[in-house]
Amino acid sequence: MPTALLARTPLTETTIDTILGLRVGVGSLWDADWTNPDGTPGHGPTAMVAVADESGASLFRKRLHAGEAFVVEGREFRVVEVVVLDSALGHVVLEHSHP
Amino acid sequence: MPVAAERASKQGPSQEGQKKSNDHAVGTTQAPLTGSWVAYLKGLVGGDKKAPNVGDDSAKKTPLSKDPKASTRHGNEVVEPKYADVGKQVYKDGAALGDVNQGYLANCYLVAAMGAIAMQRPDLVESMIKDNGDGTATVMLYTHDQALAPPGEGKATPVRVSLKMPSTDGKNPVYAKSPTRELWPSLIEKAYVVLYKGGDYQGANSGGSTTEAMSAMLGTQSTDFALASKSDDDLLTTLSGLLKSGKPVAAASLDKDDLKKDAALRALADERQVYPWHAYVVKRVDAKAGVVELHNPWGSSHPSPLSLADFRKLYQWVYVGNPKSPKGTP
Repeated sequence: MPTALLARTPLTETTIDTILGLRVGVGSLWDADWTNPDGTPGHGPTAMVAVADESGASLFRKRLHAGEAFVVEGREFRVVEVVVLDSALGHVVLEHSHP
Repeated sequence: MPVAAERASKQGPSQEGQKKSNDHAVGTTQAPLTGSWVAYLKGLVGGDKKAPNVGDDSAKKTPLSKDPKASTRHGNEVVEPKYADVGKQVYKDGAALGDVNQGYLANCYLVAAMGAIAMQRPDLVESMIKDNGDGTATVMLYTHDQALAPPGEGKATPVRVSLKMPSTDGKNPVYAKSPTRELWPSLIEKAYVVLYKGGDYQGANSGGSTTEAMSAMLGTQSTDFALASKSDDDLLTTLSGLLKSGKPVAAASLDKDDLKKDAALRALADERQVYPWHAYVVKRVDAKAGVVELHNPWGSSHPSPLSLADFRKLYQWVYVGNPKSPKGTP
């Protein structure tokens, strides 16, 4: 994605927004383990990201950490930040092309 | 008192005398104090003791409320939508559960309450809002401050708001919205923010009380109970009976902190698509099969139907609205 076209959308835990015509929601923010593409283990803040179309039909659902990218219906997204808070709602920042 | 409940008790109008358990919050914490509600409400309705029926001409005479402040904070980021014409139709084919989608606010407690009432009593939702035909609508909500009404009975408080909604693209509401482009969910949310959140959407962006939201819409005190307070048979019979009798029912998932040190429970929540600290509509209960079906107020990402055992593991509270009139009566 060309840098000039990038936009950022912050999403509070348990909320959902329409981005590029898709319904993108985030929930279940907590620290978890993952395996990096090179096989090394990782650990840190993660979020369940769920994407649906406007009818509510599920298109994508995965636990992600900062730095991961995903593509749904040709739209590209990258997780910039996942902030997990104790006893309060955290948030996720997604990067994507401008609408 | 749990942390969430303690913080929730600081939100909205004073509810002295109400069970503290009714203040149990979902979506949760960090809600700001909202000031003197009694003074605010008296100013809003001019001290009039007789609330107008939302269906008659007096709805138009209700003072027009200022559009709520719409900027919302998400961590350190601030999003500032602008008010825009996003539609004209309050209802298209009546109210229904599928009309309601949560948006860019952590107010699942309110949107789940709306959805539960729309599913069980669409007639009540349809009588809540009067389109004034002048770019405004009057929404009938209720306050439950004892200074204004006897315990258990809300004071009818009309809130007149413009049909314009906060939007980031100038076409669609950014907060509560309808996939069928009906305005009623956005209007109820807007009126609720005016009446209960100090005229600032940010006040609704940090969780709240589902019982308060149901009470605000129905005019009677809503109730709640902990899943742990009932046996399996009692829980299934109770939930099934409530739905059959036309009562709106919602449920709150586990507190996020409860999942923190339980990897198996976190895995179960992910597998079943249940988000902690979230309010859901109880859509269907099969008492015979022991299955509970829940509806995510997002309008998507619904949990898979849950066995009673999993429902108990992943949810902790049930909220019950108490409509004034039984189902099937005016």
